[in-house]
Amino acid sequence: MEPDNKIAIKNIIEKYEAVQCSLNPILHEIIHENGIIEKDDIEIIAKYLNLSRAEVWGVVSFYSDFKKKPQKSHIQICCGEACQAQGSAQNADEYLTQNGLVWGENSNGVLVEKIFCLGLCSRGPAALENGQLIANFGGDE
Amino acid sequence: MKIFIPQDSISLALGADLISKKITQSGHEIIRNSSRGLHFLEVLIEVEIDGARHGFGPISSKDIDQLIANGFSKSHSKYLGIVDELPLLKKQNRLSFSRCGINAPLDYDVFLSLGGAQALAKAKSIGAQKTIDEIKISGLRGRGGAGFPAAIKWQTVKDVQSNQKYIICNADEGDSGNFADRAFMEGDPFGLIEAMAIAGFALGASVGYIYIRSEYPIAIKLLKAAIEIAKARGLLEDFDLQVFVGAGAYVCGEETALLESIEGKRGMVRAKPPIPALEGLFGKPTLVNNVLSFAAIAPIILNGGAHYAGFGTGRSLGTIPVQLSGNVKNGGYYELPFGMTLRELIYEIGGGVKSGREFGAVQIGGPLGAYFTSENLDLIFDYETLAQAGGILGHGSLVVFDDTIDFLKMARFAFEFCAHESCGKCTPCRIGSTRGVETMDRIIAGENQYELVDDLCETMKFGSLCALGGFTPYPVQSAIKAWRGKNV
Repeated sequence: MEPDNKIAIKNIIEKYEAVQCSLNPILHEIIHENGIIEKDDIEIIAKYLNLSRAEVWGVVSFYSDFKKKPQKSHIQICCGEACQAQGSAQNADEYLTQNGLVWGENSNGVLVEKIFCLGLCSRGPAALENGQLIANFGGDE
Repeated sequence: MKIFIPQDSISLALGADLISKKITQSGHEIIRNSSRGLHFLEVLIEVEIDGARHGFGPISSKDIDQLIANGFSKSHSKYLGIVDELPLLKKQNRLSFSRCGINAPLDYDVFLSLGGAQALAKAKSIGAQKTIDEIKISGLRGRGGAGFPAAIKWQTVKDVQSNQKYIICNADEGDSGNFADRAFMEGDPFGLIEAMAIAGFALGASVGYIYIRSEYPIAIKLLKAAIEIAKARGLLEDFDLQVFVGAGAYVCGEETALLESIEGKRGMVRAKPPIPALEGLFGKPTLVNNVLSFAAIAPIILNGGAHYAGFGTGRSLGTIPVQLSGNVKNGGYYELPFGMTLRELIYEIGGGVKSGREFGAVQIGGPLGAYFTSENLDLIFDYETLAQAGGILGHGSLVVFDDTIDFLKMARFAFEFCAHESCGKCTPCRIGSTRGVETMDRIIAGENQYELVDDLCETMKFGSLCALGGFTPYPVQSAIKAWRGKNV
């Protein structure tokens, strides 16, 4: 890791110095800034928050939001019951075939994942493409 | 001519920003409100003419140029009439959601003009105990799913002595088919803040958290902004309130896992007792209520508990935003008193099956709720009736399927979902869910393993620490029963 980056992480942590319950907000901000939480980051965070590395890694590995890897494009397709009832599985398959993609990591850097519920159930199937909410995913409207 | 264009998640996902941009370019005054809940009509554009708001919907970005060129004429094919007169809005009893969709959610003066902040003032004038007494009279039960009497929780936290107490709003709404928490937060963020401030006053708590799932970025943004405005305008005088963003773990909607999560730990479920009301966040007395429970507080305080209890049936009093989705024509949320039949909700409110095929099943209460088939449609939508029928009311959702539903696949999915989201603390949930997926695969392949699944469900139901493992048998066993009813 670049030394500059390490300073950035310290800066993030210091912003939350006065905040109770700061681990999650810190991890969110690192993901937001760097797209990934590296092993070195965990050591820095642990030292600052007076936690063990295992405690920090335990949290990072528990939450799916903190497990991200940097990627060119990220597509999450909702597979909750309400979207299934509206044909999400079929629409997703058609979308993947049309765009030459498969579930999971693709060689062109696109990550396609299942997600369970975006709260757009009444106008599903729903999807999230690089932070952009999509209703009626793969539909003809 | 004033034009209202919603900016809640549904409308944005349907292109409301582009529509708004085009109408702005045409020189009209625009107000970004939120959805009124008739999601099947989104994007619903409202045009104010002579004090009445006329609706056009559903409008897509393809329709908008033509609608502008047409001058928002009543002869347009998407013209709906006066929005307040729409039958699906008029049928509702909007007590909690009275402000949602009316105006810009962050306009504090509008909030005040629509009765905002009055409940907090009234609570302070009648005092803490009388505030809780009104909630007791209202019969309000926790809307997160468990249905525990809200007043008992409030009283417990109030009565315990502590140098620090917490008020927590559970907005980790991860159940498929449930979106009323999101709708309330995006429609009336000050309303949620006011209710939490009332709780802070009544229970003697000075710190509050709103735990919002990260899948709700718009609600997060609105609540953070609303808290700042509320502080500046005096709604949060002695109460320090902040938003805590979840990180993609469904199980954190379980209240003790949520507490662990705020404390900066893995979202693992705690064994109860101790109950959070006595030993919650950082071991301190903590009130954890769902968004919809808080949403009911202001109308209860303002109109009195008896008024609220005048709605509903049996021990299910008041109103609930019924959330219709899946294969149903009129997807959206509708605030209605408890007591309607499933048939009324699906056909009269929901308009029936969207695909035009026969009705197949309805899953009530989220991914941990049971499937009901056509012979159950006369069941009353309330806590007791659904429990007696082997299901749950949960958070008030109905997900409709047509007759193409593959029940065995849905049973398998329930186990799969549980395996994906299990926190791993208790064995029945952690291992049972995976064994369940495997056993369902064998059933789907034609083996007779029903007894084994029943046995597994028994273990999960009575051996799991929380509702994730404990309620997964509801969708599994009801789906298998529905399938066997048709095929064996």
